Amino acid sequence: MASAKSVSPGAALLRTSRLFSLPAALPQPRRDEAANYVNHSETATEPYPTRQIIATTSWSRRIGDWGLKRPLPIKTTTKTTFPMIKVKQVDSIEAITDFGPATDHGITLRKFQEMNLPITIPNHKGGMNLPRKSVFEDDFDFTAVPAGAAKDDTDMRWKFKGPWLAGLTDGELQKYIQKHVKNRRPEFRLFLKTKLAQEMNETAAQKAKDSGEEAAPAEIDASKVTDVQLTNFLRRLREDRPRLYKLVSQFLDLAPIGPPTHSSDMWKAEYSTTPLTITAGNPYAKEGPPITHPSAGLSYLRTASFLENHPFYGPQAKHTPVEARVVAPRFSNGARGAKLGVGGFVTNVPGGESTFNMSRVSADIRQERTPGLERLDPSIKGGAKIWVEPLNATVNSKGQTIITVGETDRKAPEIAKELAGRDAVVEEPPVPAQQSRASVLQRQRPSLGASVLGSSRTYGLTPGDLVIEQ
Amino acid sequence: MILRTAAVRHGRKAFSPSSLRSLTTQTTTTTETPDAVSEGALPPTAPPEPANSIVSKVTRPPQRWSAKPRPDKTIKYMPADWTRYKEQQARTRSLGSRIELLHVPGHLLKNPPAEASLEMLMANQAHMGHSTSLWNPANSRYICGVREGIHIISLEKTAEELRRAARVVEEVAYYGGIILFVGTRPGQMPIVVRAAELAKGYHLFSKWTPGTITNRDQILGSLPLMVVDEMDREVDGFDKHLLDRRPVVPDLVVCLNPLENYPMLRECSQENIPTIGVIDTNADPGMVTYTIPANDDSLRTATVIAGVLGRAGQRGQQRRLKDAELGEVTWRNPREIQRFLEIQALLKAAEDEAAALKAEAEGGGSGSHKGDMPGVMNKEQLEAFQLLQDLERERREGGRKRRGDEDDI
Repeated sequence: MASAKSVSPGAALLRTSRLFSLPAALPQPRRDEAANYVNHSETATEPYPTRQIIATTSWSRRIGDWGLKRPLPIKTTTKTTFPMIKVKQVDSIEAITDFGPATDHGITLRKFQEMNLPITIPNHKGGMNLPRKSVFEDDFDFTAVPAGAAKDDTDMRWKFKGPWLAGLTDGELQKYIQKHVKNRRPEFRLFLKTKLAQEMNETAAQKAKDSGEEAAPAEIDASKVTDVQLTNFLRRLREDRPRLYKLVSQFLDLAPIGPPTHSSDMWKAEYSTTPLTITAGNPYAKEGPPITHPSAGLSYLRTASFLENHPFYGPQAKHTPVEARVVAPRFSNGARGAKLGVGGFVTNVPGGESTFNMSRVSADIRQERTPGLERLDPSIKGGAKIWVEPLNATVNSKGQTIITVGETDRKAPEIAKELAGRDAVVEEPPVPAQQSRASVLQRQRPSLGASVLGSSRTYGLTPGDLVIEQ
Repeated sequence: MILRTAAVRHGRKAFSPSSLRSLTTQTTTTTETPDAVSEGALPPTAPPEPANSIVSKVTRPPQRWSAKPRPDKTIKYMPADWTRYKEQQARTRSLGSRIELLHVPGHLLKNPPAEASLEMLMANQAHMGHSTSLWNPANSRYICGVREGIHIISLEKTAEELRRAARVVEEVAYYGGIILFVGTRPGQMPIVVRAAELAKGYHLFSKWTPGTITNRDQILGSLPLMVVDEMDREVDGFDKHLLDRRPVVPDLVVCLNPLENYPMLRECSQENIPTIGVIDTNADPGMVTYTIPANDDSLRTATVIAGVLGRAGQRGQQRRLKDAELGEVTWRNPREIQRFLEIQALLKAAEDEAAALKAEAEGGGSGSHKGDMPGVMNKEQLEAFQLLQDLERERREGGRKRRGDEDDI
């Protein structure tokens, strides 16, 4: 064990230092070649951060002290609201510290955490908005496989020793075979012998059972399997491709590959009979396993099933909505549809029957209800923005964060705006003096919000308390 | 004793020669007390007997860091609710939470540590060397490994060498040497000033004028000098001597950035002045006499190292002054001063003899004692004075044994 090796006190101390605890940089995100050709940008924000963000206290920042080899230039590091940097080289050959700003990913993370979104495992059941499972559920959250666990249990893993064959190029596959597969031939033969011995034992036991023998036959060891038997087994396996693939992937610990599917498969018998909520097989089989833990460290929430409480209006049916920027209006974006920017992530407009997909009304009405979403509206100051409710998020195998948003109701944005101190919600009209007891009770129910379990009245608040002084 | 104004105004004169203490490894005990000088018992113009000489050295007159007088901060009027405010402050001071571990960024500069622990060195980035492409292979003995593309300096080596350098600084200060702290990178000004303040040394934070040591007669010749006694008080009566005195050179140079100060280190080695330097992995350790392998780019590392060395100098100075108070002077008169005193005594004797002869010729023998010279003690007076001095020393020591007496027991 390396850690048990005795080292000098200084070296042991250095292992705990902040410099040594900086994680190694991740490889650069692989860009889509086709997209690269058209919209290639050197300054574009990468889909995920590759380096640790470093921050410092305001006093230390003023003297350029970031805990690195040398003080960083004060001019460039103090003219930013959020001091965050990422260090490319602690010391370069030019004897300078190579660093750059890290606000892009740092602020995106803050915005993401503000949305209270759990990360869910990917769902490939079409566009249906079914409830999703968190990546922290015991079925999927494998950080270590227990020693005695059967292989079938570990099929839901997200990390494998071998590659995901469907994602390899031809060259990569050849290199992998040359480097990692070829030299393991004797090992594989032994593995097959073990499997064959197991099979022979099972067959013998079954045979003995069928013929009514009481004592089970003696079990054969892998070493007892002859080469002739193994060659015959190999011949059989060559005929049985699925079983061969299963054995090979078991031996090399390959990431699972999903069965070839087509949209027409959706209507086949097995699809239509099995309930959609049951996820069959590994969730990463279709697009490949993720490059990090499926949560990517973005969020550690297990669920979004909680109720928000408002001090004045009581518990809310909808979560606090966020303002999404219309990144691309529908009209100019062709088949890709309108795109929204939510907290720094680009996402699709909510699917299904909603304000965003009004098919039966005219374009003018659509433009009126969701200004700037249909076509670019240059008259909107600062660009078109729409209130949406973030529902869940997934990190795909490329490391991209995919946020799903839904339509929010009419009142939630108003309450959110009021909480942020922007506009006050229009106050309810005063109760007339002459009225029945029942109507008084009805009036006392809060007009906004969905539940009456608690309200501002029970807290002793009045609407005036919520008016924020400007 | 810290010369600062000159450094700010004239970069060329930033290095100030101050005294001519010779670095000796022997301590000399004199029977002279400073009281005799300060009380005027010994007139400055009349040099005493060589056996009874004043211990004196040459130094620069002390100057304040800022020549600008501080603004008068006396309150013109009392604010209306001042008393009430103070009362309330006193009443509510104990309320609220108590912060145990508070990060005070400048604490290392204010309170330098006496010794740097490994943790402190690591926390202050002392272990971060240069990029592996920039290394000087002579530093391989200090390098612990490679991480993040840079060499990692072994913390044990840094601590060990720093301890040795601190010991050197302390002893040089104890024997009355002049210590110069040099740090010419931006931001190192408060660090070297603080270290010099502690060690009663000198500092340089601007450009080193090439030749300040090797060509010092031209560069520093016009600057004033002064002679001080073992308690660092100025001694008058050496004006004649100071006129033809050469400018002083440091006895030890501490350099925080040796790479930029290569000419200075070269001059030091030419004049046999020992140097202490912070050597990063790209520097040549042969440039300095005593190396401290550490990161020389970080200001925090420089603060720790200069602070430790400054504290060591402070300890040495305190020890020296304590011993001087007990009558034990750790340094000898420089040879030039010694010769000057001898010549002065000879001149005086000749003058007195001439005067006595003249008086004898004129008066034909008066009643006065023959050996009496005005302002110089005769033999009986000297014995009485020495007895008084011994009594005074007994009183100061309070019955404690002197260091030299321990061997007799």
